[in-house]
Amino acid sequence: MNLMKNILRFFITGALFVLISSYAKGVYQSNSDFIDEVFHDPTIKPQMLWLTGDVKAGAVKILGEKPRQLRVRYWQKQQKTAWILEAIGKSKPITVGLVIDAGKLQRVKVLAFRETRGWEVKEDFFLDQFSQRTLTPELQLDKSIDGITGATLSVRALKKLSRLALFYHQQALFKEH
Amino acid sequence: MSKRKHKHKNKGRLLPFIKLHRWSGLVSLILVIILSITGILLNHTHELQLKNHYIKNTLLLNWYGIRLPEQQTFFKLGAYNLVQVGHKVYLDNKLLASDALTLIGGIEMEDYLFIALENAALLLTLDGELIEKLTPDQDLPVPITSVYKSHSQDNSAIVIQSHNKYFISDDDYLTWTNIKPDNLKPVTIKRLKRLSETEKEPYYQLWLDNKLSLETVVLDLHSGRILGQFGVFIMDLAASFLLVLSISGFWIWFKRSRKRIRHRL
Repeated sequence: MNLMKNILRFFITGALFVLISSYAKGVYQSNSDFIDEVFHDPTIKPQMLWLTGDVKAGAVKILGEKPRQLRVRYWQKQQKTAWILEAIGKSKPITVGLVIDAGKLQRVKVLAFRETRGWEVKEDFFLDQFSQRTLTPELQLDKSIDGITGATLSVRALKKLSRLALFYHQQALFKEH
Repeated sequence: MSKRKHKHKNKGRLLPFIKLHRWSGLVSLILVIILSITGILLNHTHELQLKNHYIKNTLLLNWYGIRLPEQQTFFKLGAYNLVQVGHKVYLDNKLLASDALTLIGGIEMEDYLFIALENAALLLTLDGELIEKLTPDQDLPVPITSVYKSHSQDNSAIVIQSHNKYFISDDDYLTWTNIKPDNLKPVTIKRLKRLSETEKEPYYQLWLDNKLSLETVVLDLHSGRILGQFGVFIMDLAASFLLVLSISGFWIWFKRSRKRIRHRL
């Protein structure tokens, strides 16, 4: 009887896991909706930051590899910039929207998650930790971020993207001046 | 009973086992050799890096149903070969995209190469380095059905056609604006030169590479799956013969050794 109960419990847990994974996968918000939500300005146009010279060197230091593209687009209004960046979690890219105001991370949002595991990184309890974080001269976050068991690679990807966005923000404002 | 008669009687009793042993051995000989060699190889698959060795033999690839896809496009874009085989797009030997729908065309601009796919566009430097992959997320109108080079008085721009509408890019290919085709003076479709059969050949090989690993073939030989379900049945049979061999071998040895002990006593 106990064995039957255990088998039933095993199958129910498995089914729940599959259900949650498939529910968690997907696109939560389109890129344009995210930008509209951040700036409330339909006329705002994207700008671009070229990843050459020191910018490329900094990106390589953060990513640990050469960026896949030579330029990245961003949106800016005064001291506020928004970035939509992608990083591979385990095998598929996670799309993340990041808003930085005067050198501090204001908002991080997972816009699309395509993996079957590690989806917990889209939850507010995790993303709230990034709020008000800044970049140290060593290109690290000024405060550590607590990980999530079973979502190590996704957490790592989000940490990298937040460092990258803060670094790009500095470079974009520097370019402007 | 004389010793000779007794020996004959014993041999007569063992004869069916000896025959069974002999035939089992003969029938399963080749299969056991295959099973043993592939088994040893699989035990050392990591050291031998079987996963990283790929089959290039066309017959074997055909056997696995790996054939060149129907979708094939071969263009010359400036000094480059722009090629699509299946969902893969190559610029010379460099893989640009592995999830592409139809390759629509490419245009060589003064500073950039612009490659239009049905579901995305690739902006490259003249050296073939990726500047940016433009996607519908970045407001690129899709599906792209045609691509044009529009010449205005000052400069030239890219125009793409989607859903019977025309969209012109800004100077940086960041935004796309709907225009009327009449405004395009003149609108010229970039006609690209096709590649010769000899030039196409390396791309067939490039596509077929990395499709079938040696590990898969060895594993399928071991399990018999290389011949489908029939092969699995044959390998099951070989395994059964091995069982018969070991049991009959043990029985013959047991009977003979018992007799030898009795004889010594």
